[in-house]
Amino acid sequence: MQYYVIGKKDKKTRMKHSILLKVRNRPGVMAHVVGLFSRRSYNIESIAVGTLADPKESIITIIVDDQEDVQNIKRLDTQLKKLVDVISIRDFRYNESLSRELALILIEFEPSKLKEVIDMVQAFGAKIEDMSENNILIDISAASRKVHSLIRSLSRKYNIVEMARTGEVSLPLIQLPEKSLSSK
Amino acid sequence: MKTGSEIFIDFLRHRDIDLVFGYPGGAILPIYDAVFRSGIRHILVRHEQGAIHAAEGYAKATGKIGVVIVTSGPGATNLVTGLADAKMDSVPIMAITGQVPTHLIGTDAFQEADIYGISIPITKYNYLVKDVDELASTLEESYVIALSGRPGPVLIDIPKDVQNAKTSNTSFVVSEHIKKRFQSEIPIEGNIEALAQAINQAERPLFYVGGGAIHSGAHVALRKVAEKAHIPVVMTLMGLGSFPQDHPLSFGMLGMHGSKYANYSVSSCDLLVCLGARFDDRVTGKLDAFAKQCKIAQVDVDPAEIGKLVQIDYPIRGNLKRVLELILDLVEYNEREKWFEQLYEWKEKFPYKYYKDEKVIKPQHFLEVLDKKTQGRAILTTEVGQHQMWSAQYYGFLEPRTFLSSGGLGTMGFGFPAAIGAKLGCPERIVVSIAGDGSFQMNVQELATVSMYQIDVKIVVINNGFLGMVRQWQEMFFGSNFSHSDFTYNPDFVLLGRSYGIDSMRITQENEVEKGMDFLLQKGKACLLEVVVPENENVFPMIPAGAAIHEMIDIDD
Repeated sequence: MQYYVIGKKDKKTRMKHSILLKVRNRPGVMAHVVGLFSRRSYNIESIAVGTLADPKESIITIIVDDQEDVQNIKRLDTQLKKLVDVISIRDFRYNESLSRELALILIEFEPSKLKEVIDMVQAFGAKIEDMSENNILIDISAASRKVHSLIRSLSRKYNIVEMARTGEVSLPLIQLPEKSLSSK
Repeated sequence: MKTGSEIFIDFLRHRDIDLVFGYPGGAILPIYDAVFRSGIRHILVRHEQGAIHAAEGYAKATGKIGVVIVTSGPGATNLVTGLADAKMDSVPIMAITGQVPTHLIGTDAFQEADIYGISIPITKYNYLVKDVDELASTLEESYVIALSGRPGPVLIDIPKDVQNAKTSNTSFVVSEHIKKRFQSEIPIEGNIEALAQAINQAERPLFYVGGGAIHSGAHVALRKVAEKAHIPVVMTLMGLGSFPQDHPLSFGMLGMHGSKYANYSVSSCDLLVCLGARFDDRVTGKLDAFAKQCKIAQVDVDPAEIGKLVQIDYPIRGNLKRVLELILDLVEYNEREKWFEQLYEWKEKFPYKYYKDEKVIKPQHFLEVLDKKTQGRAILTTEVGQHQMWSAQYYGFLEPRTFLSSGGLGTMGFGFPAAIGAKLGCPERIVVSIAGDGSFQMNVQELATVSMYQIDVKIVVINNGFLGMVRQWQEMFFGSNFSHSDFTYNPDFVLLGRSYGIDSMRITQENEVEKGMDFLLQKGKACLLEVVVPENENVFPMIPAGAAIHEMIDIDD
């Protein structure tokens, strides 16, 4: 399996943290979590949620940008732990994680450009899920930067008719030591 | 099989809740019918805000949970201020709101409001019970959550059809998750030995005590530790009463309107031990000039408070009472002659000061007389503003749960209904509601509640014809532009009290204070005393906005 380590030297991503929240799967849980972020003025860069093997529990993945200092993340963690529906929290540096997001992209192009389009899609390791003579529905699951790069390249040359993106999910890489600030 | 409403009544009995506050309405009728048939004592107020502040007063005075029941829509939204207030001051409240039937939720039905969504940021937790099977466990869970650790308000929104629906799930059990989170013993995290050692080695230690000392019932342990180790104690507004103010180790209140000597002690100690307080901006003044010269310890049950604003050298997470009991064995007596010499010198040089007058009534003097007449053992509730600060400064609180005030949110209109709740919770105590003329008019309608149930609250209206604290700030910082702080019209408070069937009296002269006090404190019936005071009296000392804790303005400056 190939994966990408987001550039450790990248200043922007160095400050980012991934937070995994295991929560009780109840109506209102998302409102409680997101509400905490907004009223404490933390900015959510990306959020994704899905149920775990036990459908009574969900995992919420939040990417935050800790631009000021690491203290903010610690503070955020203690406040998240106070939420009644939170079962456990795990956070780690975005740079030490494997992150993925998914995008579905419908593009339109001149029929003569078909081979060019297919080449570009394959170069990015994306998949073609549906096709007509001048439309293609692309499915890409990759690191955020790669997804962003594909979208940029497609929009420059062709017409993006419609697009849907998920938030990022991430897990810490195996070989790096566990440097999480807090775990339960 | 029982209906939702019956389960609710069973729950009240199960948890020995014998008093609730509320105001009926369409969406809560089934529960109200059950309340009526149950004979449980219910206090009918005249505004839902009065109900929740009364429940807060009851909870603050007794330590028990305050229960309030209201209807949907406007009934529920009228609780918002009280919920926010309870959250800020960590008051255990159970708020039951009726809701439109489940099939109408989200349709903009009559008297529908998304109180669940609205109350998320202002409650400790909340519920919308869509299935009657979950009602029993929800009620039990919310009771546990409201009272455990750092107390707080919990709201339960119950649709009308759920109140009427039947279920056989009638047992009050909580889920495993809740049991683990809220019913297991709170661990103590942190190095108690290190803290005890730091205390023993400190030459100028200081205890900075907040509301947490009262919530955890730590006042006895606190006194023992302070006496054994010989440590001076200063208190926040919320901590007043946790340590007796007539004790030689007490150095009063610190903060924006605290005493000069208390604030100086913070800026010259070498170890500041924060016990159940949260470095609130009303206490610290400019944060980066606060307690820079000393080491700081903090003990709190809420881990999110430790180190929230200030770097802590000795953090300890745990129940304050238990931590103090453990520390008691480890601390030793230390004379600390020089430190106490300095503290007593400051205390003598910089007492709270006001200029007495022979003609007009000075509010500070009135409170001193009240203190003497009640031996410092009445329960005082206040509203917000100058009278609140003077009450904190000039009444010498000796016991916990006797100063009931809205500290964190600073809610005008809190005190008078809170006094109602406090008197019902502590009928054997003298309960005095101190209000300014502005604050009193915010929940004045509860005079009807007082009369209806013949509740013996002593109602004091300190009338200076102004929104006093605002006026003070405008005088000091806005070139005396009294923008809309001047009550050029006020009702006749005496006539107002009498119209509600309450014995009322006005005093305007200094030589009437004794008479007024005797009138107010007469046994067995509610009385209203209007005390007319000069408008230009200001609260001193004061830490102006942006200044450090030791940079106070005093009366002679």
